[in-house]
Amino acid sequence: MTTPMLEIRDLHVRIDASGTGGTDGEAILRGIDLVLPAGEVHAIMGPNGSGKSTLAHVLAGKPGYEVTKGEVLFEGRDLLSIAPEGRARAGVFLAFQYPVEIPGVGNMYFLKQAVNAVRSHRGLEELDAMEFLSLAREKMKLVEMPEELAKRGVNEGFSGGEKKRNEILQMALLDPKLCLLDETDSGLDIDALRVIAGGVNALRGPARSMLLITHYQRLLDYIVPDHVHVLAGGRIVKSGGKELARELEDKGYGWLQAMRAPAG
Amino acid sequence: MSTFSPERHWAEAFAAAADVRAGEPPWLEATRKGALARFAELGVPARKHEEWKYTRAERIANHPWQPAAAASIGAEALDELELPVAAAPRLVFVNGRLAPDLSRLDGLPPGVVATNAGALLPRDGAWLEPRLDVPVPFTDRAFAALAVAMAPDAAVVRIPRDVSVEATLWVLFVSAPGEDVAASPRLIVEAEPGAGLRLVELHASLGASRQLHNALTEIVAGAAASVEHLRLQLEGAGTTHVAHVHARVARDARYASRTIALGAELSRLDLVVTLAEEGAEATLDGLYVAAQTQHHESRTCVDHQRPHGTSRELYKGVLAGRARGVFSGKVLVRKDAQKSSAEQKNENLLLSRDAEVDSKPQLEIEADDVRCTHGSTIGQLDEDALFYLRARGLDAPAARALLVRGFLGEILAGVEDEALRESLEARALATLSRAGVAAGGAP
Repeated sequence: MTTPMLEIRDLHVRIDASGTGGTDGEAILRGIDLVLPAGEVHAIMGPNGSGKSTLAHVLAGKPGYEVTKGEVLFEGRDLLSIAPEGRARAGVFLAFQYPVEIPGVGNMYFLKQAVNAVRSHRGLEELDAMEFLSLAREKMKLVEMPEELAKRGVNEGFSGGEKKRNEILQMALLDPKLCLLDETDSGLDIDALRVIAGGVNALRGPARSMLLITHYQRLLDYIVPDHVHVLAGGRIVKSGGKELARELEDKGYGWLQAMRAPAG
Repeated sequence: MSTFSPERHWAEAFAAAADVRAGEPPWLEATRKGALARFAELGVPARKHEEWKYTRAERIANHPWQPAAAASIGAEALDELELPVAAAPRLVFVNGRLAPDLSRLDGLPPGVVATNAGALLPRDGAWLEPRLDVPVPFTDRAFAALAVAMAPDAAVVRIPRDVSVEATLWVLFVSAPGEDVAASPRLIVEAEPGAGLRLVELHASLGASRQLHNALTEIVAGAAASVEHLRLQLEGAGTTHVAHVHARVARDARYASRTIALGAELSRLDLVVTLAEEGAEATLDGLYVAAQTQHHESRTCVDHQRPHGTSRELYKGVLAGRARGVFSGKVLVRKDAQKSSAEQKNENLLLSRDAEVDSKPQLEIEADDVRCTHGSTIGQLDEDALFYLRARGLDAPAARALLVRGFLGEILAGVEDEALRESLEARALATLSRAGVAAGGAP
């Protein structure tokens, strides 16, 4: 059997407040098991507070969480011991739910730094300014991003939709193997959603896997997943085909609460 | 109790330097003596003095500084500054005196005066006389009075009516190495009505000797004139830099000040901008970067005196190591200054636990139909931004450096000369990386 892109085994996570002087929080993830084969797109759906975003953060290496049990394998290698930048260079990409504004750092300059950090890790030659510009222009077309936005600071003064376009632009530029899309549809009108879904779909391929994290089924009309998992109370309580999303849309999440195993 | 008296010390130093003033007209001797008397009368400000709450004036004044003697430096010394001055028209002053061999003024439009006060005295004494006295906003400032008494000469730049100088004019104040010397660099600038000038005023030391640089600058922007003034404080590690800068902005004139302070062990800038007539406009941008035990204070005052004036101010500070930063910014809108608009912001980035900053914005509004805003922030590097950059493949030191660059960038972006901008950015980052910060020493 080929190695899956991502394998999550019995993952338990809680808030780590040690750095902030607070007390450690309760468990947010309580035993996640998930296998994401190469080339597949899986959706993780769930109500607010179910742990969806935590899962995305932990996979990308965001500080502030403590893994109390379990492991995560990325192409068969332990992912959790790698620093966030190491994960990015190895091909893990998180499209943020709330992309950060960084005034004063030019968007293009930032993108070039990121692309070259990843390229040099992969043993590729760094792109010079001209090469990068032509690559960026090509990818900007994919998400219909106006050139004007490239000249501003990172996400500076971007609308919600523009920020999400910028995320997908970064995804296209960094050429990741594993894409984690955290609530990419939130705050988008239908036109922006179409554009962004188009960009994401163009990036689907046999060597790339995606985890779509979303509250709503709407996104999945545009980016059709191979599998859908329902996260509730820190566990995956149901998995199925793409029709499961439709079922959730009709019935809501309430009927799944009964399926929640008692908290351990 | 210390027996050292700065007032007595400087009276003696003044008497001993009579030869420096030989040949000066009697009115100038009177001006200097008046300023010295003013210094003695005002005395060194005590700590309880509100203006000197954060920077101890005694620490500056209670030292037997000797007035800097004339010195000559080679052209290669200018290269050591690593600044793009090679092609620029420039006045170079060494220890407060013009160095004609290092200065070059070709390419300036006819009628433009760029020289030293000493050369102008024989023919333009009447014009100089009021301008060589203590500038009005500083008549109660001891160090400004001392500078008037002690400055051996002054750089003078005068742009005739309706003349715009294309090139950026540099005035470099460089001090030669020498322990325990005090230099008094002085600059007088006047843009006549309708004139345009871009000016770089640079203060730098060769070497790291313990020195006092007591600088005084006065700028006048005549009606509808435009003056862009970039002031660079890139002093050596042993320098104490005290500066008084005044700009008077006339009707519909524009004054754009950008002060960048990266050097010195202790430095203090007192910048007063007077919007003296209707429709005057000023921008004040500032950046101070300090690491290790550096101390930097920026005091600004924008004085809206007449209606329809506009001012916008942004001062940013980055403090690392055990450095201390102080920002005190006053916006004064007088009764006559209706329809004024004033914005003031101060933002500080603390890169270490031991760094400290005091931010003190003050608004004094006497008019009722005005629009004024002010704000002040003190913070650390944004953890979410750091993670965002790392999640894109930048390692932690690179991510931190990029965020610091972004913070500096807002002020440095206004430096049009790309080579200069990059040089200043590199200096700022080098200062911080010596403190182990932007280079990633801190977790």
